[in-house]
Amino acid sequence: MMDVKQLWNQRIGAFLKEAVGYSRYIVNSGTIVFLVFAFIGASYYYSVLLEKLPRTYPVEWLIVLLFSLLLTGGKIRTFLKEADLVFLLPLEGRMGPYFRASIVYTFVFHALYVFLLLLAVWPLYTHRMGESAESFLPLLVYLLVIKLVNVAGRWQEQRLREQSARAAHAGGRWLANVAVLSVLFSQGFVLGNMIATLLFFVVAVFYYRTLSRQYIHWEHLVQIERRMVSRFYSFVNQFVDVPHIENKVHRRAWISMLVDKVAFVQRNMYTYLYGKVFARSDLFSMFVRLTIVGLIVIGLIRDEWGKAIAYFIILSLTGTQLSTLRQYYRYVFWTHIYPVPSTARQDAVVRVVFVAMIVQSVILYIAVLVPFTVGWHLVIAPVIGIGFSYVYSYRLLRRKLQEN
Amino acid sequence: MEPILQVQGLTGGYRKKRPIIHDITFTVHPHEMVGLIGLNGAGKSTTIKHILGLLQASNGSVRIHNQTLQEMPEAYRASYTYVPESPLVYEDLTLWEHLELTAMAYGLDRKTFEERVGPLMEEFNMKDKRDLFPQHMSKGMRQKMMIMNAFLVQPSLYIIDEPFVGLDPIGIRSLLELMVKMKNTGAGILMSSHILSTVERYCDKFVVLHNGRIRAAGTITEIQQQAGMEGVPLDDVFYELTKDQSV
Repeated sequence: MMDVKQLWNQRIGAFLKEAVGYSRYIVNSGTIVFLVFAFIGASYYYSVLLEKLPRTYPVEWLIVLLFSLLLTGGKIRTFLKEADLVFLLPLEGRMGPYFRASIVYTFVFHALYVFLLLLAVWPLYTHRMGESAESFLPLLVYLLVIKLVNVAGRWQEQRLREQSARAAHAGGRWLANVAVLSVLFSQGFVLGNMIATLLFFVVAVFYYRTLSRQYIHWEHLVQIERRMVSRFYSFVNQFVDVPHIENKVHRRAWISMLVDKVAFVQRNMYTYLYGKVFARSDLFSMFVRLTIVGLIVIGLIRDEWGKAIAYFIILSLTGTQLSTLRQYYRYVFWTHIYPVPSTARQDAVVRVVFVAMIVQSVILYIAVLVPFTVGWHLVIAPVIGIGFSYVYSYRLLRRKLQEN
Repeated sequence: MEPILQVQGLTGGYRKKRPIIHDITFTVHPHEMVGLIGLNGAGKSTTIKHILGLLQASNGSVRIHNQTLQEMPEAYRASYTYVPESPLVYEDLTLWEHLELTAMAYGLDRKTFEERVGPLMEEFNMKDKRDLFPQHMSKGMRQKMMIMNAFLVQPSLYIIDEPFVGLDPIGIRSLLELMVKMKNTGAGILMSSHILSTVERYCDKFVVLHNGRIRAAGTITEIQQQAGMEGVPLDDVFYELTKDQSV
């Protein structure tokens, strides 16, 4: 007889151990310092915004929207593995304690988010409501109860086989949340709200009862778990190289088609491979995100020095992130089989990173130009762009590649 | 005629001190299909890895066109293609892109690539699968993709490791027909498989491995003679040859 609760404890233990191990790298990476600065900056702008915002502005809609999304969404972590489809499937009837533990675990995590969001919107809320604002603790408790009901509902929904059915249920849940929350944040704990909440609970119980008769959709749960694990690893991968990272492949036909333009010759084969990898992996979305952030930040800065420094920072961030391209297919079997020297792989990684950085420096130059004022930064930016792209990819990255 | 593949007194394995295969000697000539057979753990995969150049021999040598990997690494590698036992794919590339990548790796020009790829897609019934990612393929489709990659190049030697598992009956037939076609144009084929009836029917010569050593080798008649079982099908000969120590 297998104790499923013990199995759950084992898995959560293994995961937490791994997460704590990685957290050391995240703390060391300087991200915390960055976050503290970002927090101070954001709080400053927040207080400025509060002063300017007229008290009559119906900001509760924003609060309702944010909370409705937070309460409705969120995936349940089950820590299921692919092999469970074979080994745990026969135990479905006895999996109760295991899945209950998953639900509780998920709720605890989500409760933290609810607390943080409430903390964040609290100044806005009191600013708008003034005297008639409810106090913090009852609001928090109330929201947490709704969150718990939502997590339980989410769990039952996941038994549904059809994606469209699951989406429809989640949509219904969202509407119910919006209804309850709108009354809560505009009028506080009034009778109408209590009735709405009561209805919400009745529906939730009905939900739970009817859906729990369906079998668990194991494949879907495993899929979700896989997605969440890979999201966790790609987050950690920003700070430290994670060996077993599994990435989602996006087709991105329009961008990966550009790679087809490379000449169809033997020495380009790895350029072709790594070009496609760059276009289809998370590296490309990261590249686009950083470029957009760069355009906004550099565009907003008025100072010439500031523009040049920001330009350099964005480029070096992109370079660092792109350097993970070298991890892809590093140990792939075929490199030993192809009649192509193994150094061709390194050359291709360097080339793809260089081209991507050059493209970004050209795009970011537009933001350097805005608003058009004659100054030395117009000359220095292209020098930084091309020079740094070259030095980073052909010198620093190449050295890294040769080391391993 | 000069052999394409020459394995001479090959002893080796993953660690120098503990060889898995001992004193393996056989050849593959042009127009020849050689079946490498043996039980699980007999040393088939290890032998193949040595031929591919993934492992270092502690004794003996492997030559393709009379050259070792050390002497001419690129020429050595360019002269064979390999179909692995289980598909090894790039998750980021579609079927079509795998084929393009292989063509580039082996230096095929665009024109040759396009001439060869059409019939292959047709033969393996993959024409409407060309933009599929491996994630969305079945095991059989991935296996077909591996086979198509290998046959696209048209090298002088094919090394094929247990290709039939997961293939549908039409796929198996297509593969066998292709092998015969390539053999007739002068290629050599080394194939490892457990499907003995197919091996017997298609291969010209056999190498029976047992516990890392050659137990018997040659044509079917020679093997039957070595086992003292003339006129008996390969299945039964194989059973006799490999049963002694398994008790």
